[in-house]
Amino acid sequence: MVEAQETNAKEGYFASDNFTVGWTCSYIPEEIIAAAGLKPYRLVADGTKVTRADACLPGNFCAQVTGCLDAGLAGRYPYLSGVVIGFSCNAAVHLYNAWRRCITHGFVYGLELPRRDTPEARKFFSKNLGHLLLALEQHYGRRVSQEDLWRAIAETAETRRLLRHLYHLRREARPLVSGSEAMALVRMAATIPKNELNPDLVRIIDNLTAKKETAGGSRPRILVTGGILPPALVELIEECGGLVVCEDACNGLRYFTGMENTGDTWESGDPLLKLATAYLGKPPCPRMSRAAETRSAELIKLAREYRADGVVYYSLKFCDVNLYEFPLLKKTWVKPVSRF
Amino acid sequence: MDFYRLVKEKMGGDLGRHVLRSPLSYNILKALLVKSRHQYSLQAVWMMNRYALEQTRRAYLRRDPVIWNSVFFPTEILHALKAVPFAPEVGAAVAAGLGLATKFLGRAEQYWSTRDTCSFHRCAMGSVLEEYLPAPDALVYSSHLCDGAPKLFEHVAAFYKKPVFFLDVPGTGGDAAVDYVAGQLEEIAGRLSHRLGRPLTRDNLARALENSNQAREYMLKINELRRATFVNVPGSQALNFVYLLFTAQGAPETVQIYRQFYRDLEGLAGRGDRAVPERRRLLWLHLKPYYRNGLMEYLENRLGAALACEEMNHVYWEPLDPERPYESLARKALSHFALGPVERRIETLLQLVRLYRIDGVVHFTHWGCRQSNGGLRPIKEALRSAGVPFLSLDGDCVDGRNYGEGQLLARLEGFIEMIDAK
Repeated sequence: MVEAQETNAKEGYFASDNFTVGWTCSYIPEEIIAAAGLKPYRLVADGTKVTRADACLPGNFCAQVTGCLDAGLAGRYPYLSGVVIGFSCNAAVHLYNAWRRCITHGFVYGLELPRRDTPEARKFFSKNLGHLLLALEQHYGRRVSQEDLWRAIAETAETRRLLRHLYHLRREARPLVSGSEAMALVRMAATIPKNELNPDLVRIIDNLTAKKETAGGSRPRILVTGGILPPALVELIEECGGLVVCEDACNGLRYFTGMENTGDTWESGDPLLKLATAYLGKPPCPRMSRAAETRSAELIKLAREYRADGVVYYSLKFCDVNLYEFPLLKKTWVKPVSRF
Repeated sequence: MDFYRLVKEKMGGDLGRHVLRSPLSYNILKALLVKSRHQYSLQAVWMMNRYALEQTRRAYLRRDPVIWNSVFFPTEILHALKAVPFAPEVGAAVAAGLGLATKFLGRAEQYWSTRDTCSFHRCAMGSVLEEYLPAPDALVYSSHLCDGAPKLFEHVAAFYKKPVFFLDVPGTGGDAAVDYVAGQLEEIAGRLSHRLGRPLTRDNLARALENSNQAREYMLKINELRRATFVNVPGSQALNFVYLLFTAQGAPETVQIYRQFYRDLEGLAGRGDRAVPERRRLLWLHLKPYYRNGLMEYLENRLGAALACEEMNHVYWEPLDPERPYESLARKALSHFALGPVERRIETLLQLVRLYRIDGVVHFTHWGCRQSNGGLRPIKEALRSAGVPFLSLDGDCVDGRNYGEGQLLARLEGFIEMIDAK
C-alpha cells in the first residue's frame, strides 16, 4: 500500500488540477497553503542525475537545491502551479533566485525563516506568514478565513499525530515498520492532502498492528540523523543487514515532532502566531542558531528511546550547516551511547 | 629589518603563539613600523597597520575585553563598550598572509571540518584549536550573508565556554524586519554590557555612531574621487581596507584613517600621479587571495588594468541616527545590497559600473562562499545585457593548496584581450 501511494504521488496524482504548490523546507507551514484550498507538495530532490541546474547554479551547491531546481527545469513537476521556497540558508535563497529566473511561470514565493525561537522571532515570522497568505490569496483568487486556517491546522496536526504513533511502534524490540517504509509514509504525508491521507494512515497503522509482522527484530538498530535524507541511504543500510529505527531528518522525524497540540491555547487566538510558535519551537534543524546544543541532548534521548545500536550522521555535500554541526555532535555522542 | 618580514618570521613560526602574547613583540614591531613609515606610499595604509597592531596587542595582552565578531555584525556597539573587536575571518586572512593557513586548515580537517566549506572559517577553526588566537570574553555573530560564520562561532563558544550572542538578520521583511533586528541589537548590547561589567552609556553609543558616520563621509569622498579622477589605488591595498569595515566601524581611529586615505588620494590626484597605469577600469567582486600570490601585481602592472572599484568598499547604507541607534544599525545591516533577492546586488553592481565607468567586472569566486557565488549566473546575464564583460575567477582566498597561478593569469589575460577587442 505504501508503494502504491508513493507511486501515485510520483505519477500524476496531482496532474488533473492547477492547485498544487510545492514547498521546500520543514520550517514552511504547509497549513497555510492547504488553508487556501491548495495542495501542498513537499519538494525533495529525488536523486536523479542533475543535468540542467548546473547551468543556473554553481557546482558546489547541495543536491537538495540543485536536485529540486533540476526537476523543475526538466519538467518533472508538471503538476506544480507554484512554489514556496524557504530562505533556510544562502543556497536556498539562490534556489529562489534561480527558480524565478529559469522557470518563469507560476507562483514563486520566498519565505523568510527566522533562525531563532524567541517571542520577537515568532511575531516577525507570523507577519511573514501573513504576507505569504495574502500572496496566495491574490495569486489564486482565494479568500482564506480563520476557519480555513484552523481546519488546515487541525488536519495537519492529525497527520502528525498519526505519524508520531507510527514512529512509536518502531521503538518496540521487534518493530513493525522498516526505515524504508517509514520514509515512504512520511513522504506521502508531505505530498498528499491531509484530509485524503489521514484515513489511509489510520488503516495502515491498524493493519500493521494487527499483522504484527516484524520488520527485522534481530538486526542492528540504526538511527540516521542529518538534514535531508535520501531514501536510498536508508534502503542501503537495510540491504546491508541493518534496521533503520528512526530518521531524525527534515524529511523524517522533524517533519512531525514538536508541534503537538499543547491543549488550552491551540485553537484560539491568532492562528498564524500559533503556527509561527509551533514551527520555530519544534526540535531544531541545524540551520537554527545554537541547534547543536539542543540536538546533542535530543539525539541521545532518541537513541535511547529507539534502542539504537548505532547512529549514522548524513550530511549533503556542500550543506554548510550540517557539515559544521557534525564535529560538535560527534563530541557529545560517543560517551552516552555505548554501541556504535 | 623590514616590518612585514619580521612579522612573518616571528609570528609565523612555531613560537608564534608565544610571540603573539609577549608585550616585547609589540614594542619591537611598533618601533619597526614607526621607522618604516616613509616606505608607505599611502600613509593611510601605514596608519591602518598601526591601528591593527595596537588592536592585536590589546587583544592578546588582554588589556580590554575581547569580543569576537563575525564580519557583518555592527561593531559600533563593541566600540561603544570600549571592547576590542576581533574577527576570526580577518585572523584567517592574516594567517594566510603569514603562511600559516595550511597548518591551520590541516588541523581543522583533522577536526572533521571538510574542504566543502569556506576556508576562512576552516582556517579560523584550526587556529582556535591550535590556540593561536586571543581568547574571547564573549562572541557576537550575525546570520546575514554567511551560513558558515554562525556555525564557526558556535564551535568557538563551545571551545572557550564563553557567552555567545546571535543576531538574526533576515533578507527581507520591511519595517517588521527593522523592528526585529533593532530589538535584538538592543538586547545584545544590554547583555554584553552586563556581562562585561561595562556600562553602555547613551553618549558612548552616540559617539560610536557619529564616528561611523564620519568614516562613512570620508569613504564617500574617497569613492567620489576615485570615480572622478584617473587616480587609482592599487586594488590589493584598497581591498585591505575591508579590515576597517569588518572590525572598526565606530572607532575614532577609523575616521582618522579614512581622512588620511582621502588626503593621500587628493595628493596623488593633485600631482597627477597614478598608483597604477590606467588602461582598463575593473570592478572587483568579493575578496582576493590572501596568501602569497602575484595575481593583483600581474593584473595591475603587467596587464595594465586598474581596480577602479571594489564591491566591498561600496557605501550602501544611509547615515546612522545617534538618537535612534539600534533602529539605524538595524537599517544599516538590512540595507546590504547582497542580502535577499539577487536583484538588489545586480542593481548595485550596474550602478557601480555606470558611476565608475567600468570596462569589465571580475568576480573572485571564493570556493565555499555559497552567498556570493550563487548569484553568478544572473549577475553575468545582467552585465552581458549591459554590454559589460564579466569574468568569474575561480579560487580560494585562504586555502592556497590548489592555487594554480598560471591558469588564473591566463584567464585574466584572455579577459583583458576581450575588453580590448570590444
